[in-house]
Amino acid sequence: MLHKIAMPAAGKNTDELLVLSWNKEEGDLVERGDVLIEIETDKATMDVESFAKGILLKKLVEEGETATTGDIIAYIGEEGDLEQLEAETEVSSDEDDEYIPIMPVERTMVPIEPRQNQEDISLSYKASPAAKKLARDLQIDISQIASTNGISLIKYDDVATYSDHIAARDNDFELLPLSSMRKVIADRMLASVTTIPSFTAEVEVHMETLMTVRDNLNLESEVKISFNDLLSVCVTKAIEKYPLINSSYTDDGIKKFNSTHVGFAVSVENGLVVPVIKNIEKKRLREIALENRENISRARDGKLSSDKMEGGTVTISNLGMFPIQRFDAIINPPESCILALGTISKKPVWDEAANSFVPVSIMSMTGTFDHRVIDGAYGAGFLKALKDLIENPFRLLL
Amino acid sequence: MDKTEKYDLIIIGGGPAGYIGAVSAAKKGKKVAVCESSKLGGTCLNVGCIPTKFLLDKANLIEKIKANTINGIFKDAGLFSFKKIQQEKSMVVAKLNRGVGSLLRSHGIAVYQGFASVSSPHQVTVGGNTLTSDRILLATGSEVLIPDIPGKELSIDSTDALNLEKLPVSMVVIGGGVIGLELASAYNSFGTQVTVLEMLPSLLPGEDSELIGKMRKILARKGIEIITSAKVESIGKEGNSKHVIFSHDDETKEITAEQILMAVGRKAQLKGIDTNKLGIQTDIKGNIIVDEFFQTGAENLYAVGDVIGGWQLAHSAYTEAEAAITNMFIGKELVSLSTMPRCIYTIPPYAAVGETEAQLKDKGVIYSVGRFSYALNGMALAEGVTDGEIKVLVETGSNRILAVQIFGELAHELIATATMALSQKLTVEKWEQIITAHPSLSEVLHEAVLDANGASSHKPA
Repeated sequence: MLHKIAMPAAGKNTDELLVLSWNKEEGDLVERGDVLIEIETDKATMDVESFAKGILLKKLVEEGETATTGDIIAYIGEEGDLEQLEAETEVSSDEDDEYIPIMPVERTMVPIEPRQNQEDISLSYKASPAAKKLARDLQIDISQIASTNGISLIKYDDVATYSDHIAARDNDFELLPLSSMRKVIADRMLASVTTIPSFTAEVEVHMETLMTVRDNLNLESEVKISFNDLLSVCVTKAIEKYPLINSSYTDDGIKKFNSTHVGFAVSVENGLVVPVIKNIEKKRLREIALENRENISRARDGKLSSDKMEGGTVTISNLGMFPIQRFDAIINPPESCILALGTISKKPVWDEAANSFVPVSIMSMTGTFDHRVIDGAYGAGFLKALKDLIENPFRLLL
Repeated sequence: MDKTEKYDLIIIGGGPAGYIGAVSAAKKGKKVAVCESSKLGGTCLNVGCIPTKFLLDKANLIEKIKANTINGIFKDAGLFSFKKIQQEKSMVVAKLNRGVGSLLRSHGIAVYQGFASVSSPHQVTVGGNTLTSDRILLATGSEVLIPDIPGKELSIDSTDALNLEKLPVSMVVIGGGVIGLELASAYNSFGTQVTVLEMLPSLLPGEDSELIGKMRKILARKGIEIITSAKVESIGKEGNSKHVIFSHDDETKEITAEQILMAVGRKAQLKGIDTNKLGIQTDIKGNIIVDEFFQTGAENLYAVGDVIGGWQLAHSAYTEAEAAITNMFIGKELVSLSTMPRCIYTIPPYAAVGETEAQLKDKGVIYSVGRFSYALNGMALAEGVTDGEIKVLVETGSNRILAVQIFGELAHELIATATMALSQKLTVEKWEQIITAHPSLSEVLHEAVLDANGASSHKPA
């Protein structure tokens, strides 16, 4: 009995999935539950298991190729099942031959009113007028494309792709293919910048107190508490006074979310993921820290599930591990605010009481806001409230 | 179940002559039976005119699409399915087929499906039934003529050609007559590489040689290779491909093709008609000989349509059948078949009514020629159909229109106007007074008529 294994639906924003590696070879025996392939979605990698038992008769995608959700990627069954399938498809493939071009391809056809140059008629491929024009503009020999790709009708895109490839061959640059994750980041960032009118405001936060709190916590806690964990709690508290920070603009109205789901930007190999911890206001710091650590670990292994990456209402991006003084982050749509944290460094601050400059651990924090929802004063007010909570964490207890 | 039935008229053959004759007689109150061995509608409807014209209509459309892709109006000509063309064609034929059946039934005409045997001028047996009548009309039509060429079994005939499931890559057409040229035109447009072999030194000698010469050039320009004075010697086969060996210019040549179409003509279909027993004569070609009233040598035994030779056109069959019915039941009346339009549905088509220049010259008639080219006509330019010309032959002295020959788009429609004029014996002066709508291809005809008198205003001096 022939089983068709289809590519599952796994991507967050895409149905095109990349086959990273095959776990089985053609001819291998497969049990139910055996991992067949490892695939990459736009956010993570995952295993695809076989629901069928039998011999892996044929692989329809190779490592490094992509397939769309629903495409058949393998046949599993008994010996001889494949031959039977091929016999059946031979009959129906006649349907592919049913339609032939109206414009004859091979014959030198003389038009009724000759309007083309002779050379155009006598070649053995066909190219659209747009393709021919592009080839002329780029000074590409269009017949090379036909012989290289063996395609019967050369279109504009074929010429464009070919042109990219030959430019790459000339060693000016190397063309790196786009991973699903890269495509998604590119699309979302472009969408954010082009559709959200944003502004950024900066505060300098004195970190001494919070640093002490964190160190003390970590003496006692089994789970390591990070600044991000503490900040997410502060942000959630500040949002109580400034609820529009936790909202989203739509043409029908501003969605004011009932809970705060904070996304943390995590750097992974060749990209970026933003795991979300939901309902921060309902969770204890310990829980938040634990969840965060788990998310980061999974994200770095490429095994973060898609539901962990959905539903964020506000995002925190921390580049403090680098010597970045400050940076302006790009809002993660459909959110209205993203906080960008720089590194903590000792800076001189005027102390009235001491009548001199004293060294203080300062962290620059910028907030980028969607101006359709959050106006200058509101954003500034939020940042002031947040700074206040970070510098006086006892206020979190109120 | 043996049935004996008496009728006023039994017609053998349900083709154009048969069914029109039947309706005509039924309308005169007669009890009529029609015997059909295959399909109602005969050759024309099932394996002749209608299916051929369906293919040619699609071929015409494809030509127009090609032309408009070359000039850049269409970016992409797209794809077409020959299989679907054949399927649609079958549906049209089936519809017309059912239509003829309904027509006959509505007039109370009895239809006997089966092979009829005419045992006497008053008795017919068909499918176990015995029918008697005072009068019998033979309208058995014609069948494909296959000459005795070695390898003839490797060829296909027009019926097969109309029913091909797969579009042949290449085809040799033996016979450059109407059927051969029409099928060549259609298949060439679909993409088949076509070669036509004609035995005579020129195509269609019975039609206007100038316009047929123009047609030949245009067909060649479209990729159809036409070789005249080509005598086919044999047909052979190697593996999957066939070849034709023929002699031309004192040389023996060979062409390979996927299909070989035999289109050298048709002959009278006489199966089931014992001519000797019935006392009827046939001519050298096998056609039944009839008098001017369509009666055979046997009294009350009439014959019309392809079986008597003649024009071998469906509309001639209609006219002959009506005339025969009148002769049988009303009174002997002479009908003229001389003003007969005939059409060749190549791309572009040709149509003519009246005699050709060659025929007039033979008779010693003095005439002048008016002509006008499609290229000078606004509508032709707008529609992109500037290939063509119309010739009008006018009798010197009387100024009567003697003949019209049209080569160009819609020739088969324009010829109706010409036929009307000829049958009414119009003179050039009378035609000049008739207003033709502008813009229209009919203006080409009008201008050609005026040109016979030197009176065309649209021709440069």
